[in-house]
Amino acid sequence: MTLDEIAANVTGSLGEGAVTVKSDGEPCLVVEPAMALAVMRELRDRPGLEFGYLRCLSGQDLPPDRMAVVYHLSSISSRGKLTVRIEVSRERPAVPSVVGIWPTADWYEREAYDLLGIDFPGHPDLRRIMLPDDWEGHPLRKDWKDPPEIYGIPTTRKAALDAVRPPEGLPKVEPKKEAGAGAAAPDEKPPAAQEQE
Amino acid sequence: MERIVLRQLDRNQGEMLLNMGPHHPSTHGVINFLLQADGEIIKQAIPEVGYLHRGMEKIAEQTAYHGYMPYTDRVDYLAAIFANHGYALAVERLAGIEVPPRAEYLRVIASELNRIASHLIAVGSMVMDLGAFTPFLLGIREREKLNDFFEELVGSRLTYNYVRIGGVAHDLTPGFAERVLGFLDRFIPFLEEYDRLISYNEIFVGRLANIGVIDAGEATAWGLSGPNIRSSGVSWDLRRDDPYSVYPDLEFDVVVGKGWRGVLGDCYDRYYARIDEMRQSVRILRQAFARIPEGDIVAPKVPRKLKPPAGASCYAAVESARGELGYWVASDGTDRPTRLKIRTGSFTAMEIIKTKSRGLMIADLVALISSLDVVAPEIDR
Amino acid sequence: MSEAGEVGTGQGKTDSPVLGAPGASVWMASSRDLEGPAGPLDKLFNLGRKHSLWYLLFATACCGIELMQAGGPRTDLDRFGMVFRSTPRQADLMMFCGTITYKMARAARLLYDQMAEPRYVLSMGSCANCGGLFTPSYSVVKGIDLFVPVDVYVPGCPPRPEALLDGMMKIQELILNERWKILDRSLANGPNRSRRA
Repeated sequence: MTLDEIAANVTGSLGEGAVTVKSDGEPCLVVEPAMALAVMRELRDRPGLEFGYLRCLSGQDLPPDRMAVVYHLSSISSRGKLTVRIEVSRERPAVPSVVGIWPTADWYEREAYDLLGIDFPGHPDLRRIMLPDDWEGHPLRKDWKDPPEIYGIPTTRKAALDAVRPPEGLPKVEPKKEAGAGAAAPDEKPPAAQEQE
Repeated sequence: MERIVLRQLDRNQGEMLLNMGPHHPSTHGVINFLLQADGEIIKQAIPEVGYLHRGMEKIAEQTAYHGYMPYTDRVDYLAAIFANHGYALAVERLAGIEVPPRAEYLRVIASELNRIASHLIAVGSMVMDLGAFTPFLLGIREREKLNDFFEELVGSRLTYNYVRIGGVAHDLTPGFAERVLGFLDRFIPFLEEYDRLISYNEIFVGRLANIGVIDAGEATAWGLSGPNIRSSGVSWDLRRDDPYSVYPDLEFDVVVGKGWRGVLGDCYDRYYARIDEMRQSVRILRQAFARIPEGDIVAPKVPRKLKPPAGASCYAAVESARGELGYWVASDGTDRPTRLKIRTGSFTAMEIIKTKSRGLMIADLVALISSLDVVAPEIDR
Repeated sequence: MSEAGEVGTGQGKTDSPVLGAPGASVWMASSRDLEGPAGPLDKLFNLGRKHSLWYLLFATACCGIELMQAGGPRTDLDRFGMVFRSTPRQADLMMFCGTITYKMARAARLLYDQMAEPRYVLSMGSCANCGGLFTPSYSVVKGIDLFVPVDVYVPGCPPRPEALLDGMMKIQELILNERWKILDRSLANGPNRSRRA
């Protein structure tokens, strides 16, 4: 079935405006969060569609003001594929949980919550999965910054490297300039390479 | 956030809360299980993952498309070619790059050799977890020969980094095909020896048959893939149902579980499906070596700084040894992806353990985990 | 980091009710803070110790597979007397094979703390040495020497089993050159408190 046929099937039973078709980029159905559960149930249960296999559920951070959740579905009987996309605001992202429809979404949604901070109302057990329970922040967001120390372990090796001073007698090597450093940079061996042996 | 996941422990009945992991000889990698057990009988086993979460998806946002290939090796180091291939597929579809046929055949050859190597470790660990040490070492011995082949073809024993965007890195060395075909001729008798050693062993069968039965509906709903879902009777193989590369031109059977020794979908089915899949891989390899054409091994004119169109995204998946290994790449017009999501077979296999472990003994839990063939890096990435 | 120390300062042999036999005394290695080369008697004891180095089976990621292959038929670790133990209480050597994340670091440190002295640590692979190719990550410890003391670093990604064997043989060299010191553990000098470093 083509994307338009699937969309026609769904709007046929749920009414116009349930889904919109997005053909540029990756062709997919775009669903509003409010209609999400009804549309997903329709996609899984309606004879002819029967998208009972959720292959992948990903969150995406779209700064400055949006976030998206993308579902990749497949139908085992008809070997069809479908992509569904839900976009929400970045302030308080909330997408209804589809755990009741595809139980496999459980851990995928937990991962999206853990790394991106998207809330899934209706999820039975929404807590961190990849990161420790007392971690603060959502690292996959574009504005994530590493803290200087986690559990007392420094997050860079700078301190360890500074503690090891280089041996005496090595000449200083100037850092290469950034601009024109592609093909135009002259091929010169740093003097330290010859003196270290 | 309060951890409200655990049932109330019934202390009057002597229930206890144990941690199995993260360092445990029988869990496949660093995974923790919270066991609520009444002695040996498990009331609930909750997997806790994330001990190997390395932030690969975030690193992808800071790495160029070409430069990310070595990271994909580490997603599943036992099936590294599949991980490479899936990523290359996704980026090639995103950027519209066509791969020459010789490169496709080389990818298939490397993939099927890797499938054999991965299944040898999978079944070897399974039998070792159940207490048999010799079959594991036999598998390691055969795998050393495969490691030698990979070292000759690729340069590395474990993390191959063989596939490139648009092709592969190295061509076959002279005599490689003869050596591999000779190995395959000796491999089929080896599998029969393996079967005689352990597969028909009554204790082994008794420990695996009728344990951890997953029926077809559950397997689909819980998103299992690869040998796990096929052992439950669902005939779903991405090489045939979502085809890629030159698999449509090759003949092979999709191994579906039959309830060889017990109920359909038990641990023994998942074990034996892997043995049979190795036989099918041998078949594919012989065909691939017979049909491989001459030509380039990498597409001409793949730009160094690959810049797919902004706003484009693409999902591509390969049939890895552990299931579906899929990559969803989203691009914003620069030479680094804006989002890369890796979908692995072990992630969903781990999920199902919480529901399937009720009523099992702790030793049966070990059998269930090892039959699902989970590796920690696939779950945690 | 000096690990061993002495309990009591008496020289010579005294009655030890701990061991029962009159004139018995207990020797304890005090290797890293003693100056000077090992004498022949030291080396004799160390010869026995170095050929029976039991390692903890601690594998996190890809290097763990090379550890398994090193224990396999081709690069056989067993012929060196190195067998794997699953519990740190029975191990002399802990090899950190694979990437260590902050979530795992606490558990790994617990394992290290449980090992009885003298204990050795081998850092296998780039991820354990310095974070490896996961240095840009938010959740990876940039080198295990930020939270445990390390004796030998084995570079590689992953190191070949022969390289790992070379690293273990360097540990054997370290063991061979350790010095022993006679200590008095009789209860006449007051209670012997066991140290937990």
